[in-house]
Amino acid sequence: MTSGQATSSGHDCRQLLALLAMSGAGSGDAADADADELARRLEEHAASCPECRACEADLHALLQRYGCTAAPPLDAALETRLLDRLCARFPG
Amino acid sequence: MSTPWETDLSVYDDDAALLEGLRRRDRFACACMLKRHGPRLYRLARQVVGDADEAEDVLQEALIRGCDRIDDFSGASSLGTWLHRIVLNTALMHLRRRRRDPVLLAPAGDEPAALVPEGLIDREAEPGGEVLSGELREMVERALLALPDTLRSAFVLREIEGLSTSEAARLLGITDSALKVRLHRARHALRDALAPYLQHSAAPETRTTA
Repeated sequence: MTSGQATSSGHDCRQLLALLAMSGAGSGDAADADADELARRLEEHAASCPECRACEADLHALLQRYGCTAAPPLDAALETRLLDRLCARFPG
Repeated sequence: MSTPWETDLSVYDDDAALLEGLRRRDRFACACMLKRHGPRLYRLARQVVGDADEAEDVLQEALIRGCDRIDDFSGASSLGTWLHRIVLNTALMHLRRRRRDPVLLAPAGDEPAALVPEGLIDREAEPGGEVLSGELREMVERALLALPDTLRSAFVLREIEGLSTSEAARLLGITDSALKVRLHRARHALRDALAPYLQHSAAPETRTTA
């Protein structure tokens, strides 16, 4: 394995974590030039690390299923509020 | 006068009839639109703005806008997809307003769905896929809502709505590279949050670790 070492959970690739840490704390964006380089290195890593690739495939499969899952019905109170406001504009 | 909820709405069973009703400004058609499309549209609004109260405002604003402009609906896509784009656009405008960033705000009077490209995924048109249990659906939604706004909006546009990297970056007013980095951060957070479920979701051949 040429990329990061994975922990027993299989989801904490150290090299990926190190790269993500370079993008700064929280959800902030790196400066443009740094972001270009970081994005390139993250993509390279994602393509070459078997653990990350497997995790990405898992996540992708889960989200595909999520996308096909119907949304739950609206909460009754929310539905009533929306209906009242919408229908107020439709007198007919 | 009966309320829309007390009335049989089956007269609007198909979208063509519903569209006609909306064009006649029939309040029962409006109620039917909310019943039929509301859950999916609310989920989308919630995914983008994160907050339940703001999502309600987004949905209300978008549906009013859709009703007001129903005569502009050309029928090139389904009514559901057209409404979907209006909600997505409205939600993005709310996000930008929150950041006090006027860039890319639609000028007044513009076609409401103009910012969001036509090519977004219409899941409504893809029935029959494998779905999630209620518990797993809730876990995914909870994990998405736990992401910071910047990561969640990037992830929803790119991975759930299916926009291209450059389209999603343009809508968020950031560079392609910044979007890619946000996506990696979002995926990593989701992988952590959903780890117990991911271990069982992939096909066996994708898990090749020794």
